[in-house]
Amino acid sequence: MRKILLVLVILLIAFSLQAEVLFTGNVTAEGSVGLPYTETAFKANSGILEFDFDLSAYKGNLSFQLTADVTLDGVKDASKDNSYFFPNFKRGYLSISELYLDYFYNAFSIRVGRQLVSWGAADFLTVTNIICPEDFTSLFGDDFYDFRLGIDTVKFSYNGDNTILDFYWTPLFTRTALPLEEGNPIKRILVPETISVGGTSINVKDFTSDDIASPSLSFNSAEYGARFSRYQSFVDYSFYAFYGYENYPMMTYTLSDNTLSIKGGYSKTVMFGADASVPMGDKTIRFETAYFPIRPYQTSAQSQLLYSTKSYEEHRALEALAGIDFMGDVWTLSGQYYASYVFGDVSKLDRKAFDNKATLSISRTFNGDEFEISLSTIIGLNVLDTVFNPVIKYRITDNLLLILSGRIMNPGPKEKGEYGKYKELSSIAFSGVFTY
Amino acid sequence: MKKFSLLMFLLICCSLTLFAEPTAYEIMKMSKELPAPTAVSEKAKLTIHSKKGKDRVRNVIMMSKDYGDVEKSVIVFTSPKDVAGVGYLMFNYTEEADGSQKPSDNWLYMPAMKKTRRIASSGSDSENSFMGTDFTYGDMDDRALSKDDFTLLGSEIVDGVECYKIKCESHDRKEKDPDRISYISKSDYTFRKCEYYDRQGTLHRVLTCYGIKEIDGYLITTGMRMDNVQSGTYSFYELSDIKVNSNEVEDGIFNVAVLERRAIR
Repeated sequence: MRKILLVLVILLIAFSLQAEVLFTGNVTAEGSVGLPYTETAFKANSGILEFDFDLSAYKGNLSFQLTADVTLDGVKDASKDNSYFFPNFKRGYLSISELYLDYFYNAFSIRVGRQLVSWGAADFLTVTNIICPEDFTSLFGDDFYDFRLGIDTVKFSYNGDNTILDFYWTPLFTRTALPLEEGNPIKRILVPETISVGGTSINVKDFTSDDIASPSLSFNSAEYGARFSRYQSFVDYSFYAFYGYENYPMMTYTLSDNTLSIKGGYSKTVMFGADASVPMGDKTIRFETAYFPIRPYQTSAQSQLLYSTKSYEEHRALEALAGIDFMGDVWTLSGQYYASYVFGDVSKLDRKAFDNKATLSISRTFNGDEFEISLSTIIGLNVLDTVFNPVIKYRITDNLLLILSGRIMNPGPKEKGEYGKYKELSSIAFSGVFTY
Repeated sequence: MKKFSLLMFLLICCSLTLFAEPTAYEIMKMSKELPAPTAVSEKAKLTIHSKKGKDRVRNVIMMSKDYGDVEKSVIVFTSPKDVAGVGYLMFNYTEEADGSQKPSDNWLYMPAMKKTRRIASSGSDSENSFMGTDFTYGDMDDRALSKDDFTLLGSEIVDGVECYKIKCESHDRKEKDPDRISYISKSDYTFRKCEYYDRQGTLHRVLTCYGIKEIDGYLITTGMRMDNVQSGTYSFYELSDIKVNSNEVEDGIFNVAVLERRAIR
């Protein structure tokens, strides 16, 4: 309600200024069914109708931006008898990605309100891009908006000649969106009904968003970020700094009457990062790195229950990525290699000290950009689990786009891995997007 | 008598020099060196006609400024809605005296990803399609004379205008269209038409220029049509709201921050 009131107030201001107003949006209808070899074979596991819109108003040095969407789940109404494998998890709701006022004077600007911020040079993978919390409620999406949540922040900028300097002060904490709503298929995988500890099967108590505590509103809980970017002929480079909360809440596991209870809470992290993009002939080479002098890492449920360890341990960590892009007339190719290393004793952590993965994306357009086929893959090199995302796009008109896509996750030969654990959610999706 | 003969000989020589046709190279040089504004702001409508007969229209705002050693340009899509806000920033460097040219600097801002990407540049890039049209980036560029050899083939009337017909043969025979026949107006040296031939010597594309207007003392081509005779597609490129040397084209607009702030719309 507060959000809606805020929208109305700012809209009123914008229109009272007789601003230049731009309005655009999409209506997206998407349905997906499980692939034949999965538990959801031929059953609908999503049926979503989404209205998203973008309202911009400009008046002199002042501008206003609202980006929001309303999502409805059509399968929910059609499956009241629960005949579908997954009951529906997405309810009709308004979600505001961005809502801010921006004022600039010469090279200086201030932006206040909810904003989406993208840092770094990586695609799909996260190295320095930790300022906005992630949205884990769905596995696939097209835009940055689908995977990130806007932060309620104040941004001060200096925009010089080929130089950008941004400072962020985020007094209001934004929680990461976790797939904890009833019926979200991802929840079934992340929060199973039972787990095995030391060979004993233990029931898991239902875990909801209410079980995660957010930091209280205080000066000490504010987050801070800074970015310095410079764009030059031979190289573009940026430096980043962040002090705030880790994206994932740290989970505390407690056992009582053979039932496992989970509680979550957020912990602070510190990051210094840098990226660079170097054009080399018909290719661009990208680098990105982040050093964390303090980063909380989740301890495993087993170590918490057997050895009474804390929910997390703080470690130093280093992440790095190298990528190469080729953009031809009709072909686009992109490859990346990512590695992360956690320093110190990691025996009680829920991850290995060294992790690495690679991505590859290929796309080709036909007949202008009327028809496009693409394939994006991620390979977890530690356990060889994979994600394949083949997509076919056909643009009927400038306003109407049809998309057929596969979402295929495969576990590694010995372990499921970060991506392989979602194998049962492998599906084929069909969607239509109408742009207005 | 001897003095008279010498005078007659000198007069004939002078007349021949005065009335002799310029060489192909001189014609191309005069066409290339027509006065051009330092800064231009314009709106462009790009119409792409597919083989199936469908038309797709893209509207963009274009601003450019020539700094002598570099020409800076910014292009921002205003429609269709799915690409509105996508922006290109390009720095094209002037050819050196020895014919060498520093590769261009290119950035692409994608609103959907909230990110500016560095785009590579190379010789082959100039042969890539310009925004999905039948034009290439090279067609939109000011091609260096040192890249071609020129032969004057004669004269021909193009759209009622008498033109020089000049064969342009690229030194780089690996280009997609290494040979061109250009038609340059005899009266004002404006570019009127161009036929592009592929590596097999087959006609590939035909460019026709129209709507040549004098704006603030400069001859500006406001319309171009490129027919791809091999694929059966064609594209229109029409300019409007052309402002030359306008204060609107400030030095400060040629940077990434302007794309990210969506200040051009």
